[in-house]
Amino acid sequence: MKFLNGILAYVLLEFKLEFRSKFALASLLMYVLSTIYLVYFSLEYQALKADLLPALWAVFFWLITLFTTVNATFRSFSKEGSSRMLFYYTLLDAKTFVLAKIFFNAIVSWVLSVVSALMFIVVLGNPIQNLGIFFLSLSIGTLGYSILFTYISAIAARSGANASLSVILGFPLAIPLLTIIVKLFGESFKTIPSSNFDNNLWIALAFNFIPMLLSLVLFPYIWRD
Amino acid sequence: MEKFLKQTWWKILAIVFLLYALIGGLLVPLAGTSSGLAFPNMPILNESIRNLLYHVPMWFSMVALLLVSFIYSIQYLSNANSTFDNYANSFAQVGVFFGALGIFTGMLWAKSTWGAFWTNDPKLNGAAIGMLIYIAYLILRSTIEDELKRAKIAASYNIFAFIMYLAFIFVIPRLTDSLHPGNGGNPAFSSYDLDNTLRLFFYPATIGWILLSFWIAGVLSRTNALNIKIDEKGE
Repeated sequence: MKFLNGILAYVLLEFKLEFRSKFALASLLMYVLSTIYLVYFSLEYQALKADLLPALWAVFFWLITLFTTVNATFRSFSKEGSSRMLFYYTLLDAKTFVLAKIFFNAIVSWVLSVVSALMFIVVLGNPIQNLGIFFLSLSIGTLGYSILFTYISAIAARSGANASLSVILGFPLAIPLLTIIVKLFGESFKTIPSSNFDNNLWIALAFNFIPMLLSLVLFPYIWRD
Repeated sequence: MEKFLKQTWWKILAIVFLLYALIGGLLVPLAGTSSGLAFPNMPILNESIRNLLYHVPMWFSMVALLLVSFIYSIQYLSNANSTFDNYANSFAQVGVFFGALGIFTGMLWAKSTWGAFWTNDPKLNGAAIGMLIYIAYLILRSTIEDELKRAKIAASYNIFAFIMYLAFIFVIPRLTDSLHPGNGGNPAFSSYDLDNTLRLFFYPATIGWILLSFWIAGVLSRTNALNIKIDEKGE
């Protein structure tokens, strides 16, 4: 119970801090919107938009979500000064801290991905037939990205580098999840999911579970100085 | 491991095995051209079947090296000894090198058998992603100045990346077909390609290349250790 309270308290604190600085979330939102507009514009002038394949829709969508998640999670670590980290270190244990970070980042990237999906529907049309699968794959995908990049961003931020290091470190590891999530997400374009939907769902869940477990085990080593 | 790396017997064994496999691999004729010892004569592979003695052992060596690197990273986290970090680094470096050799030997082979240097094949993609992961690991090491911090962060990334990579290698081939033997309806080497004559050379070649790769990693770890000492004196 104390464990859950700690996580909840930290997530609430993060949100309070986010809303206190007006431009923090707005800048992420702008990042998403301008990237989508960029995609829309480049497709428009190639005259590709008219016959934009649903698969292309899904790939663009998940790539943009990937970049957004990397940015959001890296920011959540780089904004912490070393003195604030020391403060958290005395208050929370590593597992509480990493779980709270993951949940906070997952909520932020889930909201951002829903917004970008709406924007995609507005500018590129709506191929989505099955809303249940759409939200399921969206939730699993953003949670998986958040878990992976919370750990990777912690490493990148601790090494004192910029966000590009978390891209270098994280993208090769994100490829498996991306592949499966795009497959899963593509099922929401059909009314009836294909026969290997369950199989892909389990694989996607495994790619959430494995990095989660690894982060819980390994995070204590990287946040101690 | 430290003792093992300094012993001589397995280095001699590596040389003997490799010379045997390389010379034998080039001299043994294909089946049908002469009587006696012969490699199988496969329709598309033809003479290129000899590449089996180079291409496949490169991957075995890479996996063995990365496994050792992974084990040393775990050891470093449980006992912060800089020797472990040095081994993890050196074995990963040589692992990347052998991975590159595996890719190049594979690309040449693919060009002559499948008609293209690169195909969308799960094993190729797996290999490419593995290379990206470990090059990223080496880049991560180069960005951190502080030695203790570098060792700890690099070790925790190495453990994370290795397990994620293993999961990936297990899963991805189930999603798509592969051109490689033993996948997607292609016959496995063990069923008829890898016949007894080929085995006679393939197993020594594999052991030889793995031993050679460990030898290189051992030498590299010693030069890395010396470089660290030189840096310390310079400061």
